[in-house]
Amino acid sequence: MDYDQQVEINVPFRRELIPLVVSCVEQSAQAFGLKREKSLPLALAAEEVFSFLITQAEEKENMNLICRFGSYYVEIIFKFASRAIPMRALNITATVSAEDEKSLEDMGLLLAARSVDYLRISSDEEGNTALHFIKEKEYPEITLEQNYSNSLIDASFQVVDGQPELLKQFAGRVVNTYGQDAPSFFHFPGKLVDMVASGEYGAALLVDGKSNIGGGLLWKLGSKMVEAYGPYLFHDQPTLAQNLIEGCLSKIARTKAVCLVIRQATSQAPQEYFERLGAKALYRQLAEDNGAVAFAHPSLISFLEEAYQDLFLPRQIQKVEYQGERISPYSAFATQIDREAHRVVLSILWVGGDATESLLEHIRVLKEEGLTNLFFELDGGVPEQAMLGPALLEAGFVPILVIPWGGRGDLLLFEHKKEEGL
Amino acid sequence: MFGKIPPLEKLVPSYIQNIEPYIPSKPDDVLKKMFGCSSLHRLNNNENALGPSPMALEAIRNFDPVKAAIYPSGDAYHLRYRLGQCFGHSPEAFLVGNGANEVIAFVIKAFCQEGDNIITADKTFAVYEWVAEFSGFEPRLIPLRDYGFDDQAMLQAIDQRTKIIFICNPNNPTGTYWNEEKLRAFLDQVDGKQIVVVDEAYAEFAEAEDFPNAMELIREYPNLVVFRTFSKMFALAALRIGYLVGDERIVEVIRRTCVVYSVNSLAQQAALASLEDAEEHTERTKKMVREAKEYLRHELTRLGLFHVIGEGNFIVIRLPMSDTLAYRKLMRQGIMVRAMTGFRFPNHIRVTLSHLPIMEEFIKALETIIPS
Repeated sequence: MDYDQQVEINVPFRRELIPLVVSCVEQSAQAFGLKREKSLPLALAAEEVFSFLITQAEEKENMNLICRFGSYYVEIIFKFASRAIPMRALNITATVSAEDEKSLEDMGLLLAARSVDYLRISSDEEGNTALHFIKEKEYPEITLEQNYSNSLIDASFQVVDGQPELLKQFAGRVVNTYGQDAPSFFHFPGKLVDMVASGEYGAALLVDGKSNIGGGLLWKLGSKMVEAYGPYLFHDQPTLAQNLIEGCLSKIARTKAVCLVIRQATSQAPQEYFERLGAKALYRQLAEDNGAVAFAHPSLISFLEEAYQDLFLPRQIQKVEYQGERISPYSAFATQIDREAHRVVLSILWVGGDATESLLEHIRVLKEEGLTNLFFELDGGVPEQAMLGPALLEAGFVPILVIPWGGRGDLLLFEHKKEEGL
Repeated sequence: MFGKIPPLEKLVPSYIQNIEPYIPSKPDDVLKKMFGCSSLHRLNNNENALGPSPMALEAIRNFDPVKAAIYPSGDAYHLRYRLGQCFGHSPEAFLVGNGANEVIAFVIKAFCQEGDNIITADKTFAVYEWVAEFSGFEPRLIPLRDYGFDDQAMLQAIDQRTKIIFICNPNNPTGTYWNEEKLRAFLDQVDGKQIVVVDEAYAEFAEAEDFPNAMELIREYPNLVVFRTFSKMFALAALRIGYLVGDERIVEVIRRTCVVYSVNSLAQQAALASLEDAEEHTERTKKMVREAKEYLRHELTRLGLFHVIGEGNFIVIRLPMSDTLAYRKLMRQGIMVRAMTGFRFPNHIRVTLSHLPIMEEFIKALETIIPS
């Protein structure tokens, strides 16, 4: 199957075309491998988004609907001319009041946002906004009755690319060896194979002459940051971890990526290739860093100055403050939830006047759901995000570390202090 | 009203969409400000610390500013004739470009079409790979063997669609080289079926007795094309001038893709003058490089750091830390080296060999950053 497959239609904003949009999404999603119970929520989301946009759209305007096959997921993209849409409806904390007509109008978007696995908003230089809705495919969970132990190990392991059957073996061995510490996708070997096939992930595996897996490293390619998982090792031989890191680096050294990070590095990670960020994260740059501007609210400047000094990073900190200019009344936040680790990473999609209240509401709702480890990622390369500094501090978040080039610029990671902010 | 931006995702070929533009280092004044250092020693680009030769300096000083209004010689006429005299080839065997980088592009454009591939090493000068990639051709990258080009693996990688094989001799960044015997054996096995480019950007620094004279081999192997530059030994990097030499029939084909008038008059004049006192200038430079090599060999051994010293005016050092972190730490002390992750040599740095006092400063700075 061609992993670049996508279906694209240009639809005028007309109510009678709603069935066309719904049908296109549903049929494409199924053709791209989603089961009916997964494609239906996506079709429902499409109906809600399109219906909502019709109420906002000017006459003779069109929307581009793109249904994209992402190997392990299906992505639906609604691309339209930028206009004020009620971004707050995309917050997971958004609630609808039956007495508030405006709020009811937004209910469809709220339902759409909650019916998918991931949601992202982007804009382009042509003045378009795009809503990306992602629904992942379903995969069978690993059965640990299978014997993943190696036999007749050949002493010499070579670093090879992740071929499907090797990846499945690798997933099994990671779950067997690392148990709860293994990221959840290792529990779904078929998903791991599709993740690598999508081109969004890469893998380096250690394989001996008898096709035994000695270890491996998985990484996700971002626009500037590559995020790796591992290295996972099943044998105690010197230099295996180094070989994996060098294998990964040789693949990504001449790409767009500028840094590599392992947020939860295993104890086998070779320290000499990395800089330490915080307690567990390892980091390295892939190219010479010759400086950048970091946008920051004055309340965070001293933290940043100290962090940049410690990291030997050349940065020019540019102060950003809200000075009464007109901004959207509402904010929108993206949430990435890892329920097993009770962990949530928040980031901002849209900075609005209600940022503090909205953040507090997010914290309340997330904690009610038992999600107690809350983090926030602020992109220092986006000036508007810097305005969020006071709201974050007021809501009980404290800055813990800087991930250079983790976003458009440096990512400032905050952690929520549990006793504060509520 | 602003004009409409065209649909770039549709207009830009996929092989261009995936390429990140090369971002050169910022000017010294900006770097010094960013890193908070008062002085800066650039040991990152393998420039010649002695600067241009006395004759070249004089030619630059004597350049008539009025000539800025006149187009340069479109094909570097006088320079090609002089090069022909120096190396015993006809002027038509030479093609001068705006730096050797430009002639790399000429050669690839001249011989490759959709579906073709080029062969080179994985850890070598990146421009062969980049030009092939952004032109839509496949670069086949053969891993180095013992820090040198692997002749047998390169031969095995050849197929019906292989058009050009690039060999960097001596290799940047390892300084390893193929001697004449090895180069001849390789050319014999290629048997004239592909173009073999031997990039000799650093050949003038080579002191090994068995370093080959590729210029001479062109007479026996018409598929051999040799690159040279005035940027390194002759220290005219700012003027951008390099050239290729090959069999006239091959160069005639390459010339069809060449952009004329791309080499400015000052560069041509300075390059011409460089050839007049080339011998003395080369000897002085070699002496400086030799002294720097001896000093660094001793100091790096004392520090227990693995290093590769080859035939160029540079050295590669393996560090027990991230090279990109080492780069930032050294920059704070005003020392600019090349971090080698981009060359697929993580945790290695390449250092240009320079005057002894600068090498001493480098070692002093290095000692402060390596973990005990």
